[in-house]
Amino acid sequence: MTLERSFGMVKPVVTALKDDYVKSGRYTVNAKLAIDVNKKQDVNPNASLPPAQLREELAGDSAPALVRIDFAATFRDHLLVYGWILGLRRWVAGAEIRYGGAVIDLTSLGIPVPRPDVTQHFAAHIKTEDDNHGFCLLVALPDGGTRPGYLRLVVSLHSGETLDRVWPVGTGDAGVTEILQKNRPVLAWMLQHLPAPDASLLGELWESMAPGAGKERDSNSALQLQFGVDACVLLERRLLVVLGWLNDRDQLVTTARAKVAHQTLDFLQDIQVAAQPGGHANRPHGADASMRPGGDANVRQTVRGEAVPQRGFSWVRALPQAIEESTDVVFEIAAGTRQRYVRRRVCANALDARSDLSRVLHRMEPDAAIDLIERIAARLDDTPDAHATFKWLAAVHAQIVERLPAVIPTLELPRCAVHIDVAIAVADQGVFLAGWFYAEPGAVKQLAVHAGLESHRIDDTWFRTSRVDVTTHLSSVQIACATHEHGFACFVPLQNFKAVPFLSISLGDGSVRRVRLPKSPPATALHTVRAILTTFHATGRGLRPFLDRHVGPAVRSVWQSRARAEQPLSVDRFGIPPSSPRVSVIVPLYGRHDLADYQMALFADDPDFQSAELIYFVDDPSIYDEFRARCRDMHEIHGVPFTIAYAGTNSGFAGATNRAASIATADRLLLMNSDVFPKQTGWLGRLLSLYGSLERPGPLGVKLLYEDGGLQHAGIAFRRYAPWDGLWINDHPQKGQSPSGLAGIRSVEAVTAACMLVDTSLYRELGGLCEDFIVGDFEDSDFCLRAAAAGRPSAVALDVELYHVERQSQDRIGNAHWRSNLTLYNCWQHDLRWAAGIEAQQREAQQREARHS
Amino acid sequence: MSAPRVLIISHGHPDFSIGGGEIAAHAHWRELRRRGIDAMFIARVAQSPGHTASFSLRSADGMEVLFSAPPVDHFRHSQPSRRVIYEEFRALLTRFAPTVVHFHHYVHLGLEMIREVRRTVPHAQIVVTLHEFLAQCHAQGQMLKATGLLCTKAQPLDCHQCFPSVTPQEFFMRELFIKSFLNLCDRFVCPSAFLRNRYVEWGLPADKMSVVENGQPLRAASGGGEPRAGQPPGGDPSGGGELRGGEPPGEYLRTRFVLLGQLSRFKGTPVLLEAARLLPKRLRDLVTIEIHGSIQFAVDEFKAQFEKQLLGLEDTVRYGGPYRPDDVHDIIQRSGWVIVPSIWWENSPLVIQEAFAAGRPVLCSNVGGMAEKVVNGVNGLHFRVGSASDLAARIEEAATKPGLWERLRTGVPAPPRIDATVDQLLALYGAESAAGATGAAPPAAAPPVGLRSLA
Repeated sequence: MTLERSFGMVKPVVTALKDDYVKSGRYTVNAKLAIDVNKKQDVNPNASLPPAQLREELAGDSAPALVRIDFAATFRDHLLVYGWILGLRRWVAGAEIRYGGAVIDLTSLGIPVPRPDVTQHFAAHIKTEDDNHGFCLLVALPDGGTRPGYLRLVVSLHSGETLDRVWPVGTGDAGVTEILQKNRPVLAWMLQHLPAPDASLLGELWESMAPGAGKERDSNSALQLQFGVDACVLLERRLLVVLGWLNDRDQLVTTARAKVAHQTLDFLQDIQVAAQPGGHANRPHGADASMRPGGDANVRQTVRGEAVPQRGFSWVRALPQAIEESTDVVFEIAAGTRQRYVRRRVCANALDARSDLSRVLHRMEPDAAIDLIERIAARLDDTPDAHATFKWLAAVHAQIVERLPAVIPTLELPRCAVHIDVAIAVADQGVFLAGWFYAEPGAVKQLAVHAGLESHRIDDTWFRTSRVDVTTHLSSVQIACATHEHGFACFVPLQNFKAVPFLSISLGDGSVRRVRLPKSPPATALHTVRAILTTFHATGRGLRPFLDRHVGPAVRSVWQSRARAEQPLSVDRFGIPPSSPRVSVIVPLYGRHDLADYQMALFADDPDFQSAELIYFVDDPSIYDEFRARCRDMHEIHGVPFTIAYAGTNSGFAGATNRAASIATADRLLLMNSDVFPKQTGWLGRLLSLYGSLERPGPLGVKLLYEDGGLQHAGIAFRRYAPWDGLWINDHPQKGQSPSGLAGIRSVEAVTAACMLVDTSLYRELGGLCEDFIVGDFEDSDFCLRAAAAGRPSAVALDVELYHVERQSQDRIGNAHWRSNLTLYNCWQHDLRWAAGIEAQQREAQQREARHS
Repeated sequence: MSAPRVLIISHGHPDFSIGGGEIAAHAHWRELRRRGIDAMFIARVAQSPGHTASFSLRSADGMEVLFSAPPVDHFRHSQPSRRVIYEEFRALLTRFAPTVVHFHHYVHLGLEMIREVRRTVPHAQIVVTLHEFLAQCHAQGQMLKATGLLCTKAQPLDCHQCFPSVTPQEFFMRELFIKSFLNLCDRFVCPSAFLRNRYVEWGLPADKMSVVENGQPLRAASGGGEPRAGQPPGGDPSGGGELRGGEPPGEYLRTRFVLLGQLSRFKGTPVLLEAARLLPKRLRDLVTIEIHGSIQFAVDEFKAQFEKQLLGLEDTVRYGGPYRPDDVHDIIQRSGWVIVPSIWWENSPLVIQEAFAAGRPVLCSNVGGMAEKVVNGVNGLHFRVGSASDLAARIEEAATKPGLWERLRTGVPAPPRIDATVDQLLALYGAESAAGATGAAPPAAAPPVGLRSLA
């Protein structure tokens, strides 16, 4: 017979079998049975009726058989049954085989067999929805039970009816052998198509029946289906690691022991069984059989089409005594009165053990492998000399981490979803994470970030942000959310920063899923700061703790680790500089270098600029060449002597000003922005003489106006800013209002460095502007507060007016989100240093005012 | 005082580009030369001479020079290739050593030239003639907003509305920049009081501002319009009611109108055509409107609109196409009225001078320089700027009211002439002239009789 299709082959066999039975007479049945068996399988002409109604005909002795046992045999304490029930998958509520006192549940222990021959047999009269009528069963029988020659099949249908039949069972070596011979093709088919354990069991049994097999085998028990060992390794001669699969241990297994070199250990202790999957639509395979090496979802299909998982387990146990030589580990499992032994050899050789375990780990699903490694690593502390093993384990761990997925698709996790948008490396301190996370209550226990075997929980202190786009995404996959708060951002300090970091999600059902963090490409410090600062919007609760714990430390670490090669300054002078300048005017340039041309057009007719040292510091490599090429032109036309300096890099406002100040030669420094323009000539001389009239002055500012003449600055006052959790910000009171009525020299809390006069010696004493402030902002008020602390408070000369055409020199920052959050960071840093000082200062000032009034 | 040496700088040469400014500058220079004064004329041209020097000689004696200035930044009128200024121009200044440098414009040249003059010849008088509002208005200096409204004051926020891509701050910086050069000038010459007042409002010092008309060159006698040599600026009644020999009668002439010049939206051509359409039927047959001028430089949509508007007006409007400057007088002579319907302020339109030279009253918009040169009810009629219906009403009045045309003709003044203009300029320069300038601050030229004095 050719095997066109295995199913097709079965059909003629069954027909042949039926005839054989009829003819062989090798059974002892009662008359009723004989009638049943001998009867031709006539089809009820009213077969369009559902089975319940067909059943009524049973009473009339013209029972159409809706079930049939094709053959059954008992041998080697096992029962083998092959048969079919019409509509087994869909119409049958329960089916039992009663044999010799044992009751065997067909619906859970039977293995489904497709029977198109049956479908076709009934096709003309009954429409069945599928071919799933057949079953085969191979079960162990309990000791001491009888082995009768017949079995009883009891079927109950969904319609409420029951079918009760008795069928012959072959017993005795000869009889069984004949049955097996006769049904050789079916058996061969079964060997090929049954699940592996059943097939191997069948194979063994058959072998034992076949002449000349002669092998002595352990008598297989029902336990074959429930217990098996895939790998058994002894690490460092003391740590036993066992992987296998185990089913229904609570129900069938009563004792489980492992014996190794005279040591007996309780196997059920410390065992970790894979969690029941619980039938999620999210996980199509259903089973979490990832414990098993090879990663196959080891799932048994029952006759009713259910997928019953074989549950994998792992067991890590430290032996009380080390093993000196390679030896056997014997596992003893008992269920009821049956016992089962499994032997496995373990090597005492450490390298062999390691390579064995490594092989096993690499065949496992990464999540399961990492779980196991973490448990082994935890155990390693128990054993001495574990350092080398730990290192090796960490190396294997790193390899397995590489196999973790980069992304977990939204619907894959049960009742939760997570996605990492960015993982920004923060110098050597850790990683800054941003992404989104959604979970129903109880679905997730915790999230943590790992680097090597170091782990750090993140979901207890992270910052949540609003993510409307995520809500939209989730609703597109039929997940409804109550809020938009899905985003998260946090800083994860990690010591093992060289290892590939990954995120672990501990689910409510006890399992753990892991995903690699995305790699962030190397970038400059400023780019990294920008990446961090654009992961969130400064709204929502918990802004201050987020800054304190996450953003602040991360940005600070990145900024402090920036490359600061101290490059020599390139200095060029145009025109003849004054020999003893009264003041050094320092103007940083970034982006719009043409602002220098505008300024010089206005300095050209101002005699003060013939006796001032004017220094333009180019803080932007992209404009240096172009600007430098125009300098001679500017000098020839405007006639103002000036110097340009360049450090080959972008240092930010503070850094640029500090470096320029380092080459200034005058006793006074005027810090000036490139977008500040004089209203009249002679302003600088007036400012200098006002400064000279003060006693031990601190920084002296000026009145700055907008281009429409409105007030831009008349001194800085600190006030709390509610939208940023009350951080102190630099306010310009009366901004935009009429500047009239403001005259004279006024003491203020701070002045802007857009136009600020200060003693060069004081500037250098205080260390110049603080370069911890990134790009530019708050370094001027920080400077003024430091000056005040040194006894040199700030003042503003309101009779000296210049225009401050705001925003022209802030072209550098561009994006509003980045700009805003950068200001937030600088503001936070400033507040951290000065909040107490500012409060004290303001309290004092209030008290003074109260006294005076 | 030594004899003056005058350097006249123009943004164009009349041989290469047509424009009132270039013509005036060149005429100014020719008159100085005619009087034997050492005067050099530098005109900026777009073409390169083909060699590597930026200056090239136009006349053999080197007193007429072309300047191939590199393209300027038109936003702030700055010359990016400043080396040309502080090397070549500086050399020229050093060599010529002018005592007066008169800029007829800075556009296309670069404001830096002004500072260069101040630096290299510190004692020279720097005079600048203002032809329009470019220093304060980036919209071609017309102070006409993008919305079509006339602009009365240049302010950064308003400028930003007309040019949304340029920030108000940028306009403010432009103002600071331009003023830093204009501050170096000793005197500003304004062809109209209207323009002068606008600049004073903008911030130029009033005591530096003088009103001097752009005088026209002496023209050979043609068609009866004899030049009145030596005539002081003032009214020249061409004879009350007396017709010149060969002229058609007033009754006929008053029904004939002419518009001359570059045709464009700003010049108000569409307003005139619409007014023609609005004329009642009987007037349409009675009145003739001639339009002369080139539409070559107009934008496509104007050309399309122009052609469309002409359709259906054939009985009234005739389009005569471009004309030569020499034909202006003849063209005007054929009509009784000259219409100047510009929708922007205008400074001192040449066509008004040409109309007056031909003894014709002017029908013009009631704003700016037009309304200054043409006095309503004295030597012309005003209509509401941009209003076709009002213009139509004025046309009707002009064509039908008995005696109106004759009366207005009597108020037509003689237009200023170049010699009078140059006299005034020389007085401004403070140079010793035959008339014996006092050397005190030169008086602002007295406005011609008939001009309304603006507050």
